Amino acid sequence: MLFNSIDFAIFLPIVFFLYWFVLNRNIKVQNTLILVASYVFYGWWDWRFLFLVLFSTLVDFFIGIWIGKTEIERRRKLLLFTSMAVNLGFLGVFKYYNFFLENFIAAFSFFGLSFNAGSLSIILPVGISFYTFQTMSYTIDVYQRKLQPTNDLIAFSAFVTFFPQLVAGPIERATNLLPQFFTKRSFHYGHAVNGMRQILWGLFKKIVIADNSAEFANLIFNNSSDYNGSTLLIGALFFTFQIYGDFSGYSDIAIGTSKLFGFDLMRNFSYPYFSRDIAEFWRRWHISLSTWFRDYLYIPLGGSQGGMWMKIRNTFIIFIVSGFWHGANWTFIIWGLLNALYFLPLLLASKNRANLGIVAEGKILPSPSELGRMLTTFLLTVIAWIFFRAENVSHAIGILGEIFSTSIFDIPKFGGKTEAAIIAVVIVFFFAIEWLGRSHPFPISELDRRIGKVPAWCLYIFIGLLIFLFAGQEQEFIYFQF
Amino acid sequence: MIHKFILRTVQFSAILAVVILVAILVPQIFLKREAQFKLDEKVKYVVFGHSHSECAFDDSRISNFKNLSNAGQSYFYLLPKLRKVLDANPQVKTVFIEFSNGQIEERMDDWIWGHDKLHNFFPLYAPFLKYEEQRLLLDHNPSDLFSVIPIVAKNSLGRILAMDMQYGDDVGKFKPLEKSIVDSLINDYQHGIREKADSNPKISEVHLHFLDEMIAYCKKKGVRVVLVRSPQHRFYNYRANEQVFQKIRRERYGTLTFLDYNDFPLLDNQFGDFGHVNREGAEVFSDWFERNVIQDKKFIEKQS
Repeated sequence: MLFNSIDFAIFLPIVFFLYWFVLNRNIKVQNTLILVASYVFYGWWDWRFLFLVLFSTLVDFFIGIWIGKTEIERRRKLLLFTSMAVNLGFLGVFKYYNFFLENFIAAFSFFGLSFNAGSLSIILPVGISFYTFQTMSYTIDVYQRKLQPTNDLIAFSAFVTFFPQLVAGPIERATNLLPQFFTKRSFHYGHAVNGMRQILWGLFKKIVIADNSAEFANLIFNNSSDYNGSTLLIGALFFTFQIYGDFSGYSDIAIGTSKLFGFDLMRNFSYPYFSRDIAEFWRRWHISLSTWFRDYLYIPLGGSQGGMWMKIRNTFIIFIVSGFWHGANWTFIIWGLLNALYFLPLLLASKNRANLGIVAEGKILPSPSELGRMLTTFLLTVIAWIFFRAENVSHAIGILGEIFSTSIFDIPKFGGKTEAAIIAVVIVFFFAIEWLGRSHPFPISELDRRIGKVPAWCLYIFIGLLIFLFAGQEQEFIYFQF
Repeated sequence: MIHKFILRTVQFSAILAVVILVAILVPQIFLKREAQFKLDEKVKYVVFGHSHSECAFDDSRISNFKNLSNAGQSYFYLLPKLRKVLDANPQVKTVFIEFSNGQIEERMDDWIWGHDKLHNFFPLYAPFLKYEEQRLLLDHNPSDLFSVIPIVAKNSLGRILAMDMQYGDDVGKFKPLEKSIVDSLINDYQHGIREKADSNPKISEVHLHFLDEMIAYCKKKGVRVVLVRSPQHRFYNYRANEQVFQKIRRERYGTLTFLDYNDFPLLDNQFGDFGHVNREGAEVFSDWFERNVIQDKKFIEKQS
């Protein structure tokens, strides 16, 4: 079920009503409702893959209990590896099998050897990378004794499948989300209203910014050989806005929806395109994944403890793995590698934690230096996104080759320039609102209190009107494929 | 507190719904009154149709003539265009309406309420459709109709904000086909690769009803109606229904003049494909049409 669908607009009020008015006396019953609702939400897409979610849930639930019951280190480790093998095995089969197979065949033929094996013709289950990482975080936390294993299968299942964030995150830590299933939730007016604001803002990002940018990004990327450098750059810019609007929009709707049920999810985006360097960008982009890799990969690898070379090695590993997490294609790996290369100078100069605060805090406009650094970081990310969006590496290189040629100075030529100009104006409006609200979790958070009720409501209505006017066909979220 | 939350949510939704309704209706009402369909004062002949006539009638080569055809347009969308054009242009004396084999078939229903045509044409013509015409779309394809309403509102608002009331070329013009793929199509045809066509197809009564409406409106306005069939290649697959087509033409439209250029002598390379002439074919055909129809005194006399 898509957040931007009529189905969800009917589904959400029904679940909300049952949750607060019918089943509000008992926390276990509420958890059961969340579980059933989550299965309906996921099964709406393809019910067959519910068995995969169920299996992953049961494996980690029982392994968690068994790890908790034993003090024998070898046994605990074996159980942890079993959980990892099952979860990563799912990912390996459904997401990476064909990629590895193709590359093995290519490598064998390079050495003049032949290797035959059939590729798998299977659909990638929606959100598999998200829920497997979430369940793994539980088992690792139990193994590391950061968390007591739970004996409540319903609560644990609800934690794994919690519908607002099941298919595209934020990837929650068990230490944050799981305990919330054991605490009585009470309805908090301010919290719920802010959740509605965040849903509105998320829908605006998705329907207005992402889906409309996608129209031009797809047009230009899918016919890239027909376009000059300046048009390809416009296509890359539209994709840059599309991916941000799409993914952070999903996160906003997920966090906002959770607030309606009394849950707090972690923040996933924090105005990444206002970053002054790449390190700051990665502290602000897909925070739940970055911190997951930091806590469960970078730190276990030694983090920054073993000197500069160790730091560089570990940084490259997490960026490449992060790229690979997004998809089984060399384009994603190069995207990760490129970001690691962007990161390297900051690491060598020990300036990767230079920009921890809010840019131009307390000021209306950034200084020229801040603006320059923001634009540079933005352009670097635009270049990296070309790899992320391209069909394959040669496609990306072809686009970059044209952008870095003299045709960048030609007049852009593509169909629908007037519509593109209208979307560009809306994107400027969007970033203006983001800039003005950058010290808040999302730009229209608590807006009534900040600017007064009437202006705030006028803005909400205007945003709602823009969502209506710019609504086209329902488009899937990009991150569903990951 | 939860009741207050629900009340606030309902209040917000109600205000938003009213604002959206205003954003839909006000531009429609405005455009219905202010839209400009004025043609050059000299234009006395207009052709309405789909891609066949769009590609065939080069109005720069035909005196006092305007091609308002548009590829993929059914009689359903031609009707509001015809109404607006005739209302705004009393100097128009004759209306040519493309009537060819494909237009009698049931697949034309899809040209009225199918997803693609609804998205292409409804946003442009929504302000000029009557209630019962909009109701027809609602009855046959409500989901696509609802999904296209935001586009209708956005386009209409955009037009008003840009002060662009002139519909002119937006509603149709001569569009020549520059290339020809006829050679490869003939090659396929001779090797037995051809589109399936039914010699006795199901008829679209709905589509023909809107042709009736177009004819009735012309009569109401005192404008002469001429049905015309643009040149079609000899291998054009929809020719398969010729007998049925001619029966309908005789029985239903026998009182109207029918200019039939189905077998107009053109070379293979003067077609873009089997259904459409290309630029060269349009030049030959339009020059002939100018000499033999527009400059024909008998034809002109029939107008009065």
